[in-house]
Amino acid sequence: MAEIRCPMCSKLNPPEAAVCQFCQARLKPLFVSPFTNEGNSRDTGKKDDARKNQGDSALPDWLNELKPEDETEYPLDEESELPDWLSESGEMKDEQDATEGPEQPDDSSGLPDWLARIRKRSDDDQVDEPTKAFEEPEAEEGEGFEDWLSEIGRPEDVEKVFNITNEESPLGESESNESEPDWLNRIRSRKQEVEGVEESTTFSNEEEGAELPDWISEVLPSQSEEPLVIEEQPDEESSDWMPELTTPGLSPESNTAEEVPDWLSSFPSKDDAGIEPDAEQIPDWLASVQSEDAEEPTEKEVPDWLKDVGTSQVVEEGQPETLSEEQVFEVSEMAPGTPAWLSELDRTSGSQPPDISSPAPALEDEDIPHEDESFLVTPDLGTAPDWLDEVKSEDAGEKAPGEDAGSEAGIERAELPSWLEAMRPVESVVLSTPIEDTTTARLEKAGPLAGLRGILPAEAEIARHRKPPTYSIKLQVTENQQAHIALLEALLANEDEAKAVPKPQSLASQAFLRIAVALVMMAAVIWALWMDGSYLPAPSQNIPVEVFDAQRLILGLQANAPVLVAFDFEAGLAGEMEAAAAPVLDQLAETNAVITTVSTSTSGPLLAERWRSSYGEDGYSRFFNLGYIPAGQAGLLAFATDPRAVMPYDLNSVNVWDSGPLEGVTSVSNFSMVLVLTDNPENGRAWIEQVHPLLREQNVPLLMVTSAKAEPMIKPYATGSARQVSGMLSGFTGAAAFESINSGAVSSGAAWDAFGTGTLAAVGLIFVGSLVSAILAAIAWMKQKPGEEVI
Amino acid sequence: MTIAGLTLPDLIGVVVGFLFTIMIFSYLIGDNPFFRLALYIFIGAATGFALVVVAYNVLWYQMLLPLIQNPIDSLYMVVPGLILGLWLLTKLSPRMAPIGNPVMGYLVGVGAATIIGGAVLGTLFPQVGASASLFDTDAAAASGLPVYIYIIRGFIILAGTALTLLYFHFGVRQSSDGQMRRPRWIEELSGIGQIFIAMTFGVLFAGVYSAALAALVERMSFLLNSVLQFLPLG
Amino acid sequence: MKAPVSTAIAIAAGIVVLLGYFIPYEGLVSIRTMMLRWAIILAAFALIVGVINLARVHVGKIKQGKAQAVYSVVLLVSLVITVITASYFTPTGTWSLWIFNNIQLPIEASLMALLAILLIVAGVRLLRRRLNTFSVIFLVTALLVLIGTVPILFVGEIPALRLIREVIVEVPGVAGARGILLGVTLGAIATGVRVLIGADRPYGG
Repeated sequence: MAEIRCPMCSKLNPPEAAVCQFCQARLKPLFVSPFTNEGNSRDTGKKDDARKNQGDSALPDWLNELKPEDETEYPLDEESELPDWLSESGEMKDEQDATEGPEQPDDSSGLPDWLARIRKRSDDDQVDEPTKAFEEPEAEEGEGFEDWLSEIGRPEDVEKVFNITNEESPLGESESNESEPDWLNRIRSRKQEVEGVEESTTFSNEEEGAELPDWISEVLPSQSEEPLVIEEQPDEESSDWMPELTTPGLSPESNTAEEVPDWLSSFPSKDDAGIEPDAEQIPDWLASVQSEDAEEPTEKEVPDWLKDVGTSQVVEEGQPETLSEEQVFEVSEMAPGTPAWLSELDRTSGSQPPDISSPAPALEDEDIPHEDESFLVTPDLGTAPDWLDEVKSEDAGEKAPGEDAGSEAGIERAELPSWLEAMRPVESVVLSTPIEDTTTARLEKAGPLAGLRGILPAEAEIARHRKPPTYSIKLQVTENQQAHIALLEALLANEDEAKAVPKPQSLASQAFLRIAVALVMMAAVIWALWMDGSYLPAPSQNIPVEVFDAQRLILGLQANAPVLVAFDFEAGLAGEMEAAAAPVLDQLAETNAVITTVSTSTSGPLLAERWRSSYGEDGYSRFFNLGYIPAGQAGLLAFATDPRAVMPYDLNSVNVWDSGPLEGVTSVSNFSMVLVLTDNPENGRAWIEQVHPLLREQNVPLLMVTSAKAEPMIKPYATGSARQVSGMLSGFTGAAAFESINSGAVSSGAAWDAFGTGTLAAVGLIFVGSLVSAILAAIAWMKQKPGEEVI
Repeated sequence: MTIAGLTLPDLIGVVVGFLFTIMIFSYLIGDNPFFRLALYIFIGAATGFALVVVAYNVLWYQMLLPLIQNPIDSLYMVVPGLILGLWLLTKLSPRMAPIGNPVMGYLVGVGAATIIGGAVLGTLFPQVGASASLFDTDAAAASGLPVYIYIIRGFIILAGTALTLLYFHFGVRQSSDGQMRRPRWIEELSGIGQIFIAMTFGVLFAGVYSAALAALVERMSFLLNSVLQFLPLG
Repeated sequence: MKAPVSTAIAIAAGIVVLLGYFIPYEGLVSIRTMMLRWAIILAAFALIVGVINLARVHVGKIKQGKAQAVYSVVLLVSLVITVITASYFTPTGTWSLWIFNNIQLPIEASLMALLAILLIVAGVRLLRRRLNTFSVIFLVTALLVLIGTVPILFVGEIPALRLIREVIVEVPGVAGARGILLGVTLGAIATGVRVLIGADRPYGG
């Protein structure tokens, strides 16, 4: 057996399952209508024996067929079959005939009068052949009921059928319901006749003589409920099912009592002007046919279902449910055979009044009826009745959106009958309320609302399978990046180009130049040393002020003054520094100053010792070599703050602080003078930054003897009114100047001469060489080709 | 025993010195093994001296000797220092080097603070004050220069200082054509500052040469004296 | 943040030392002095670590048998001899001074003397390599300062040259030097502050 697909979650379940395994929805109905087919197939006039045997009041098959089972739930076929309920009605009639007797109204005798008149009228007016939907089924007993549908031809035919004079009102109440169908009028008249019917009848398949179809019997209430009392009038055009509509009181043959289906019981009841059945016997749907004077705005009492169906205008929101005269007229133009449930369904669905301005789209598997056409589809139903398909196929008119899809799917378009076409609302009517175009909305494919558009999804978003978003793999390059790319490509292109190989400079020329310069310089120096004559005078003019200040400060020292001397220069410049510091140190030694030496350089203690040992014959005695201070400026700061703790002993392991000339010295500011001998501007700056703030408090002068290379960077500290360096001597020139102002002569004459000679030689070499280089460079520049580099 | 008035150690020393001087000067011809040999010997000797001086001055005189002579007073200083010093020795091992990071951090922190304090109090404030005192008329009188000369000189020094600092401003902004460049007025003024910098570098070059020339003179004097000492040139 | 302990120690130590510059509180000064003394000890150990590392590098070169290994041998021999001599005879001993006076000093002085010749060669080739305004200004300034430093041979001292030299050194020279000093100072302050705030962690953090 085939698996059962759950109508709620659309998942497959075993055929024997009664409840869905996934969502616990009921798979098999609690009650089975005799009209329901097992496969929910719509048979064209076929009888289902299985349904005959069903005794429960199941929903009619056409109801079940409207439920969403699969995507092919709305197979439309121009050659659509008769709706099942119609065929079933025939079947029921057959059953009834079989069980109750051959009470089978033929086309002319068994049909209700109103239906018979419809048929006659249609024949007289040469109504177009009914569509296939309204094809008369094979002449079988009990299957002439669809003739009334064939009466539903074109609107013009309908117009004739539903004469304004209500000449042939189906209800037979021409006085009051001229626009009502004849059958309805007849029903009302019958009702009046059998007003005193005592016996209430119910419709059921089990009761004998019930001519009403089962589905009608379902509609009609039970014995305790109101039976439907309908006057049955002989009408040659009455359909077979009409007798079934009559209550047992009206038609003794049909006296079936069935339970009222829920779908029918939900229909609001309305007064029926023409029928006054027993309140207990009239079903709701028929009771709604009764007119209400208070609500009927028109003189003619029109059934509500007709009003709603036949309206050509969309009922605006807020409009009373009553119809205008035009609407009533249009409603009355409907085929008399339009059951009231159509209008009831429209109202109960709560949707907008049907908009039939455009032909109803052909129902397809994927084409869900527009919500404006909801009157064609009940909330519980998934498919439209077959008869309606036949109606639509009559008129091929305008194609509603979505119909193309249907035609593309191989389903022929249904043509609307003329009468239905006439009931289309006027296109010039402006919709007061915007109608949402859901033709492009998402199509629901699962759940009971499958096939509809524009509804909330039944499944969770996460459960829906979507195609993952595709991202462009094309590289997005901005203009700036493109510019960089172009630049990089240009650079790479240049890499492939052969560049002009620069002429390599001869190493010999470089060595030759070096040797030549070295020879010249050495010759000049050696010659000056060899001459050992003081032919270069000592500088006597434009002597810097710092030299004079240094001389002044040194001469101002007291005897035996403790002087801190820092030997912060390297051994490589020992020649210059010793020459430059010699006059100052000699001056200090002459004052018997206690020279205490420290150094922030590892070679400083050795250089200090070298000076001490070179002074005089036995060296300088009042000399303490404290050694090396690590950690750079941090060590200097520590020593300046507490020299005793940082340097408790000298290099001879003597504690110089406890006794001797340095006994009272607790801080660097306790020295009479601080003399820094440095060739490095950084060392000089360290002494100035870390030590001078402490010296300034006690006005202890800071003198510096620097190398010529450190002079420019130390000079700013020695100039100005608030200078930090009290006096400064720089290199050979400073020493010579100091000696010049001190004694008038330079002690190291040969060295001074050699220095002068070497300086002049250097000036000459640089000048001449630069001049030659500039001329050669200019010549090379003038000869330079574009793109070549000048070497 | 004396040779040419020199004792043997001195004589050997002279000879060694002479040789090393020649070995270094041989670089004028080009790089050669003698030059490299002398260089590596110098590095070894200098490093050895540095190690010994540090060992003497710090390890012995500042840690061990105070601990021996005055252990109680020196304990608070010596023991933590020793611990920190030994902790720093972990830097010798690549695997244990990260262990010594806290000690290095302490050293760097102290050094950085010293630099900041010295720079602010020792250079920044005084040098800015010195720039302001360039227009001190009293100092002009003391210098012996005419006042207007002194003022002009002060103005030039001040302008030169500012323009030199301006040259080292490398902050750029996007111009209208999308190019990142300095503001135009900074570009123009930094050119003048570049002149002052060029002149300062010229003075530095002259000073460096003077110092090197002095070393040359000293070496030449040594060589000459060494040769003359052994040559009976009278 | 890597190495938070090292960073915290660096910042804390730096802040204490820096506060000692501006707050003349005696207790703070004492603490700062103690911390500075510890820094002196640590610097000494750092130098020892450097020397040991130098020796290990050259020992490694010798073990690898590289072509330059002979120089590493020479270096190590010189190092060992110097250490032994200076340790035994004290750094200011006779033989220590002998090594210093006859080995280190001549070599170092010779290197400086070589610099004088190389500087002249560089000055001669300057305009050939880079002929622009600033090169000319640089060279002219150097020459004027040099020629104003000493008297002219056989001519004597020329006051004008001397004056030019002094003016150049004391005006644009001082101006440029002061600007450079201020720039270097500001850079040093910025670098120090970055260390104290933990932005720079050169100690391996």
